Amino acid sequence: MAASLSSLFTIKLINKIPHTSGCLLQLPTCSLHTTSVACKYPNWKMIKEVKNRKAVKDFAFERINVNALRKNKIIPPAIKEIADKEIAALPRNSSISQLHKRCMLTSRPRGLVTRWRLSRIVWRHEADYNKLSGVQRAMW
Amino acid sequence: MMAAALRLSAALRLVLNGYAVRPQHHARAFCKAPPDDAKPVEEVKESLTKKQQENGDKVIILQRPEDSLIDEKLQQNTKKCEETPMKDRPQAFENDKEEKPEQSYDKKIIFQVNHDHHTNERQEASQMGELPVTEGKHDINTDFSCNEKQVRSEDELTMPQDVTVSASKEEQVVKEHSPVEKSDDRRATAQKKLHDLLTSLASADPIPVEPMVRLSRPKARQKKTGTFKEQKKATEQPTESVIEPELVLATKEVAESLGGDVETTESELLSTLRLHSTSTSCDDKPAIQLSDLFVGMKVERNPRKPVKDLPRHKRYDQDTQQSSPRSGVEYQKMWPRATGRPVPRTLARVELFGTEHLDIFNAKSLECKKEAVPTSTLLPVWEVAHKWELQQSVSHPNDNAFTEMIQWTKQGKLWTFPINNEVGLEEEKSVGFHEHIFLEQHLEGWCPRRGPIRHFMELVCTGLSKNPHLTVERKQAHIQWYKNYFAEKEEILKEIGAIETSQ
Repeated sequence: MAASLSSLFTIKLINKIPHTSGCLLQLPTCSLHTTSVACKYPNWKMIKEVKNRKAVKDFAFERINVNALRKNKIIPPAIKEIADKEIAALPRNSSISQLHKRCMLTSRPRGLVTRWRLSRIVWRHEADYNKLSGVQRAMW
Repeated sequence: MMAAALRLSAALRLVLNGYAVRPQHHARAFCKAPPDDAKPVEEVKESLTKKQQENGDKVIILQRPEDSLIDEKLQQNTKKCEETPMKDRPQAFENDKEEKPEQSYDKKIIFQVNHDHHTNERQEASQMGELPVTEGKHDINTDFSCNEKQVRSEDELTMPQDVTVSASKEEQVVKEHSPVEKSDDRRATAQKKLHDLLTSLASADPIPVEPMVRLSRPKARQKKTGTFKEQKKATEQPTESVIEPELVLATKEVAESLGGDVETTESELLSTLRLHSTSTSCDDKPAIQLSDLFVGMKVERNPRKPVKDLPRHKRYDQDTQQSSPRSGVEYQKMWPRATGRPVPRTLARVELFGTEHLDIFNAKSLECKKEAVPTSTLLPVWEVAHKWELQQSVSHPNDNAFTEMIQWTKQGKLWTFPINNEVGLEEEKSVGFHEHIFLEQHLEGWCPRRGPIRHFMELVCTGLSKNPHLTVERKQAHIQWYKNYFAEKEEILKEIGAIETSQ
């Protein structure tokens, strides 16, 4: 049951995950977890977020160049208008402002501690178990 | 929306305030930290000694070794004093502290010298009566800023273990005791003793270390027969042994008197004589030689069997103890016995390149084997599975965290130590700074010399030159993109008048 469900969370689109011959193998000779568990995301929303980030990375070069044309007082306004249209034509996912940070372990959208990319609850848990370097219960 | 976000952030801050996130270099081990206003131990001790000086200063002007006694007590006092915070301690005579810093220093030295011998001294002093110093002091000291508890008895005073929190307490109690006249004599004798001790310490020779004990050393081992050359040398050099003729005659007579095999006995005796007479040098072989010892003697050739009995077969299927309780003799049989004569081991000579080469672990053979595997596309899944299984069979889980860390380092997950800040920037070292900064050269040819576009591109170049994180190729790519962009928009730009039409 768990194995079959877990297979749903692997994405074929994102090629970075190493999997053999393009599909999950359920082999009789080996254990249940044939692919590494680290590549499984906790949430579908997390997967969408990952896709958005990929798009941001792809269009980053073009977006920054066009935005530089837009956000200055030297370029004539005609060119600026054209640039505005151009950037609007780019996919919405490629915008950085569309990104919404999530907790890496629980996919929680709110209450994040940015430096560790964790939600406050997970952060607290890890800190209490001494897994966060340099983090200590404060008392003074 | 904004307000909600602010509230959230505030809440987070409250939560996080429960945890202190310290930058790494300020990280403090979770240990019991002293309070901020705690003074270092040495300062406390110094202050106390100085205070004691003030109390005793009016009587004792010169430095006395007896003061060290007090110091000893103070040392013990300070242990308790440290526990009490500074405010509660008796504050005394801070004005005079500056006047005698030297005395305290000397005192400390003496104290260190006396430290080991203190217990004896104190016992002696206690036997005589009270400690003379304290008595002498009690005349003068009138003001005691400390608590006026009078619990102490005379006996308690003399014993160093039951020391009170403040030294002045002792002085208070001492007041009540015997008159000063008797104490003077005792004081003098004690003083004398201390003085003698000190002088002895000062002049004493260093403790004699036990001389090198002569341990019995094993006899020099006979060297194995070395290379052929060494053997030759040995045979060439005859052992020169000068035995006196008298001794030779004596050996003959002894042999004859003993009877039996005269020749053998004679030879044995001569050999022993030779041993003692030969001169030993580093280069030559050692004097004692097995061959000399065995001259004339017969060697036993009876091969002895090892005495150790083979372990009898234990019967595991039977639970009950069948064998009767063993007696002492049987127990002795069970113990592993030392063989009477160990079987002489002869190491077989191994010749590495004697036989033909098996050609199993050749690099060539391995390659051939790899190529020989046929890649059939009928069963791709099975092949993949087989490959995976082979990988799994070879790779083993880590024994410990160290091997795990090694694995991670190889994979690039863990930094290599010592930390290299420029990991991944090896290629960048070969690129010179001029390529990063002087980007105006890329504007040549296409960019107009004046106008808003030139202005804009110059700004772009300055911005890129200041960016240390980009590679040179990426910077050039940026400039190229703008070149293409303006090339597309050339007509519009000409209409506007941004580009000079006549060039």
